[in-house]
Amino acid sequence: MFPTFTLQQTRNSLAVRRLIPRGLDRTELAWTCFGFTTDDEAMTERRLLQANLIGPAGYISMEDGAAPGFVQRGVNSAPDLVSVVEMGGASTASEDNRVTEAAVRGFWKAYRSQMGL
Amino acid sequence: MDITLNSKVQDLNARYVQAIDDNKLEAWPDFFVEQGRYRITTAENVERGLPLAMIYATSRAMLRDRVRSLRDANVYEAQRYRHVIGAPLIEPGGEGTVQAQTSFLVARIMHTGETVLFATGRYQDRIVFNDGAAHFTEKIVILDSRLVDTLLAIPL
Repeated sequence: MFPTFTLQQTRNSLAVRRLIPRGLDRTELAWTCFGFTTDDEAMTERRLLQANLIGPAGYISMEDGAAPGFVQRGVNSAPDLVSVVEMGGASTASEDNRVTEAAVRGFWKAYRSQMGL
Repeated sequence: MDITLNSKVQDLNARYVQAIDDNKLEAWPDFFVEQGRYRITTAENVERGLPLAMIYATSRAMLRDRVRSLRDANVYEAQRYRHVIGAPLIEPGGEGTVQAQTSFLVARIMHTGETVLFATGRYQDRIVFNDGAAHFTEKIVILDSRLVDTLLAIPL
């Protein structure tokens, strides 16, 4: 939604991810998971169990911390080069499948416009 | 202080960390009772009364799932741990259990040999003794810091 803010939905559980840059080669990612005051104990328990999927030990997210690190290491050895991978082309139009980064491109297009870049 | 009890608690945690450090993860669930509970959380969350955990298991079966995932599904750079644990502070836990708090430091050693102080914190354990054998009914790993470097694959 904004460069350092992502609103995440896993089934009916919401969470916020915030990227906190700490330097050129250091970034923190903060996870904040939400419950609701209307949740009963069983629902809270479900949310806590579901949280096993995310975070630094998350079943679906633990590799997310490592993968950018690999890229960073590779990029460090070629500081004057550029590499672009177009997933789903270069457009920002809506598509009928999820094998595309159209949404991400769409975000940056809007961001550039807002920032006058 | 009950020296025998103290020794049994120390022995349980010494064997526990040895299994993890020796990459014998398949033995990890067996340190718990069948419906044993295991959580990794932060001191900040504990102080604020927030229930979110990085790992939350309510049975041996869930622990076995995690080991299975680490062995067959998740992809991460080869790494090992080395735990150093302190002396336990023991109190009665009610219902025939014992509560123990034990400090720990965990170094992470990457396949490159790079060694870092990966995690520090305390175990809050609830331990039961059956036929002389000790098991955890609950182990809460409370990390001092909210920062985990890269990922938390191997349990603490």
